Amino acid sequence: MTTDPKDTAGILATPRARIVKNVVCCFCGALCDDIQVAITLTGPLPRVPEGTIIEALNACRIGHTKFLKLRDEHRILKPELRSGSDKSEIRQVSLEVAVKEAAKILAKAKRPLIYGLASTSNEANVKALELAEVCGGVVDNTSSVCHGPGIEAVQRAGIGTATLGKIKNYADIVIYWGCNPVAAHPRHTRRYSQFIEGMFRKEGERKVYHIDVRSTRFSDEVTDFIQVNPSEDYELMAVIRAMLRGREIQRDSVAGVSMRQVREFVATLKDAEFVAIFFGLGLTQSSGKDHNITQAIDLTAELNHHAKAVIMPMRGHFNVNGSNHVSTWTYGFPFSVSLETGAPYYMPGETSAVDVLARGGTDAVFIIAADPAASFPASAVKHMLKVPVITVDPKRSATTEISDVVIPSAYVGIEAEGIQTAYRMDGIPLQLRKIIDAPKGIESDEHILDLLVREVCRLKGIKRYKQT
Amino acid sequence: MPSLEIILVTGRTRRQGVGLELGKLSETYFEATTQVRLDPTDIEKLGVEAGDTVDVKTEHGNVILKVVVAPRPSVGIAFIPYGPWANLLIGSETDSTGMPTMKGLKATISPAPGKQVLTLQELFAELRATIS
Repeated sequence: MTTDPKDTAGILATPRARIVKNVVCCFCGALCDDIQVAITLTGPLPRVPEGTIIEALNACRIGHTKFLKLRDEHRILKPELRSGSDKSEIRQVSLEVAVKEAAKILAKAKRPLIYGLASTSNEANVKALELAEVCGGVVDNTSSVCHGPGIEAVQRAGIGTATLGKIKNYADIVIYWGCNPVAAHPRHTRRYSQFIEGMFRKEGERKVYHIDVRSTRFSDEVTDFIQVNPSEDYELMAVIRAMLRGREIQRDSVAGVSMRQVREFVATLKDAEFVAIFFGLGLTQSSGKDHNITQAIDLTAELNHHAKAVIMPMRGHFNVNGSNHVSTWTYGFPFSVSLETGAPYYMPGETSAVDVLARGGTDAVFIIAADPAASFPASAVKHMLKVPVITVDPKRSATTEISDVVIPSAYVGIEAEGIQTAYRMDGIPLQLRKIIDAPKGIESDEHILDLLVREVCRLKGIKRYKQT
Repeated sequence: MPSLEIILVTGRTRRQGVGLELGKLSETYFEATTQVRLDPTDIEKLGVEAGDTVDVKTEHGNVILKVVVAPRPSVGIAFIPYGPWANLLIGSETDSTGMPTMKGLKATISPAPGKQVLTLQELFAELRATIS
């Protein structure tokens, strides 16, 4: 079955709207690049101003929400200085004043934490690393609480992977392990595995497996659902590896899965031509963490004795992969980098954001394109309540509510000016572009970071060596 | 009052995804992240109904959440969508990886009649009150 993306011809074509085709959706790491966006022209509809996105065809429900709800009541339109014990006293200021205030905090800090960077462009990432350098701080991206353990496993075991296009065209077995694409990457199965024909895989020639601790709607749609006990994925993978080598396991079940189901699954794998494993946070956030991914990579290597096999993380934020790439090509390390001694130092568990906060190891926090107050353990968030926090974000978030300085920014890939790129989950870089103007006075992450670097350099008397 | 030993799994839902794009202060996000999904048999064991509040506890903390019937069988598993409320139950020990354990934690659930789910501001106020 082939699912053709919807086309705007006849659906959105109206003299009152212009259509922009092939827009990249900046929600998840799948970076769907076939979105067709309708934008209003001058005075088309009552109460709808010019330049409003009124439709985003082909986008999933979450992406659709992102495109159409850019300008709701949660959008921040002016920089804010917040004070009071609960940060509820808000003073709206100019961008210049907000940048000066933020730079003052960062220049004064002994060990600022710069965190986020997953929902912004590679170009903004470059500037954020420069900010961390001039501040002498710790810089971390959201992969440390996402697929960071998977990256640590890759450093240990290597990885055999492929592009999503290759998987779509070749894979006859696709395994989703510890993830729920229906909730987190809603178009992934439609574009790359279950509901699309590939060049060499026609309808009915592909089997899709879901392995997880609980069944979801996705489990009903696949060839077989394998329910594994929580935190026992490692054991199941180890047994599958042994059976692929011809060992017989004398047990009734393993990790809650009956041996009959395991044997059937292993037999299918042995007959496969091309196996693709997509793994999610079910493996990285449960007991075992990086070791689970090492085991999954070793399983992939074992499968290569029987078929071509590849493995890929289901990256969450749209450019979290890019933040790893930029950090790696700059410092040699993909996340959790300390620059306090002037040389990059990487030690997850010590220089990772949650650990830094939980140990009280920072005296100022700068957040861009992330919301740690909503995603970090409460004991780490507590330290953010003790130190000055600066947040750059287009919309209000849990973190903006505990911030001292809030600087609104333009949406990357929709409103932001300049060259913008992002890395898809398979490492393919895609160019993003501006399709509508940002609200008046709202600048891009890259521009805001540049202003901050400039001001911190001025305050600290540092000569800037990276000029743009 | 009955209580139930259970395995806690936090994770994504599509509603939570829509909520975070609408805005973290939106009603949609609040509703999507202040619920605990339980199997009907576990709900019965607790003597509560869908929509009632329960107190979920781990060794790291506790939180009041609303009961929602899990759409698929999941006996012994409590699923809470990612968000500030779920994070009250998560510890910051990362086993030298940077990643806290957010799935597969041991938890205890008990009914919490009359107790309300905290708003985000109330949640931060409670955290502030515990800062020494």
